Amino acid sequence: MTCNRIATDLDAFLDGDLSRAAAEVLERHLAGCAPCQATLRRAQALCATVRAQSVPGPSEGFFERALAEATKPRPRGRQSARIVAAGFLGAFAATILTVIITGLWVGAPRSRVSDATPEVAMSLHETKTVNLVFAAKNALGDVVMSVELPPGVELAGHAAARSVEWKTQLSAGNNVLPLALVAVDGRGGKLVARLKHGDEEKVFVVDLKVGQQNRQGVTL
Amino acid sequence: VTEEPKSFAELIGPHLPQLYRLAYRLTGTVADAEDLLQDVLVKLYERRSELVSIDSLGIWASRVLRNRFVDQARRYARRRMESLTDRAELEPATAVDATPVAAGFDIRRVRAAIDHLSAEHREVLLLHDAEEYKLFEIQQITGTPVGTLKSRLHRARARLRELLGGDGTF
Repeated sequence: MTCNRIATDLDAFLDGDLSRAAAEVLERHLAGCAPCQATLRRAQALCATVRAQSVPGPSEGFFERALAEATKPRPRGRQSARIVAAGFLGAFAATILTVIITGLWVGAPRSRVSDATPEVAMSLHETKTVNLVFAAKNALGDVVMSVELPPGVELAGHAAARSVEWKTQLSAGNNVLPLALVAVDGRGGKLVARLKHGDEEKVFVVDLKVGQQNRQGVTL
Repeated sequence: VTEEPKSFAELIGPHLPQLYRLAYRLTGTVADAEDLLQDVLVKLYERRSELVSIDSLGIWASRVLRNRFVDQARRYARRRMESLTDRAELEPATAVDATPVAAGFDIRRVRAAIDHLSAEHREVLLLHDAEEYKLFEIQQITGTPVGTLKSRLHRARARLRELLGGDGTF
């Protein structure tokens, strides 16, 4: 074993990749070679310093905002149709509570729509994902969907959007519209979702209560 | 009350800290890491029906993120250079304010030296030595064979030692 060989095997030794026999040869050389001991200590220290390179955390609330942004309804193009036709969007850890509100679109085999207005409890400044689930007996094209928000409640990441409207399609079965909502003051109010297909219109109203204890799984 | 299948957020949520760290290691700034991860989450959401059937979702999502980064590498590289320029102004490389750590290495000098490695060397060094991914995991993320990664890692460390010189300053 020579000092030059140490340089060649150094990283493999650090990573534990040398064979037992090769490691023992290297260790014997190290025991009697002060410069190589210094080289090893320096390499180990450098690895430790690389490992100590910190990663600053993301901005406050980034993960929640990013998830809300990724899963928000997209009003135009192919994306919106896929969102509406897709499966459930649920809770992220304990910070987003999912409330399922099911309405039945016209043509469903057995109407279970209640005239009662479902309530969703929200906490101030906390993002809550509300899933509106629309059940359709058959696939429907050219459905116009609109959502109107009460004052003091915003779509997460889209503070300026008080109402949104877009054309989409419904698949046969459950169609889910996830809405990431944030209450910015304590007023709450009624969220109104409308589905129009030809001359027919279905209106769904959700009462948003701010500052009350959350409830899970409200189903009409 | 409706029994929900695992949602997108439930599936991907536990991996977000790891994905963010990877994004930061690749891009070098919080703003770019957030942009990259946000972008990737939108892509993943479009493919959410696939997620439940993926065994190592964290590694798989890491690969998606890394591919997205490579697709836009030029944009991020430009920003990294701008960031380096800004940092150089904020933290002049004088030994006076250096914070020595083990064996005389200063953590900021080492970071500056890492930033001057090639993108390939920086990637494997940070993923292996800083984030402590195994080489086979880096292979799954990058698609580069383990043998190539190992020799690249050794060259990266050698280059870093060379950049830091004999006295540990850069």
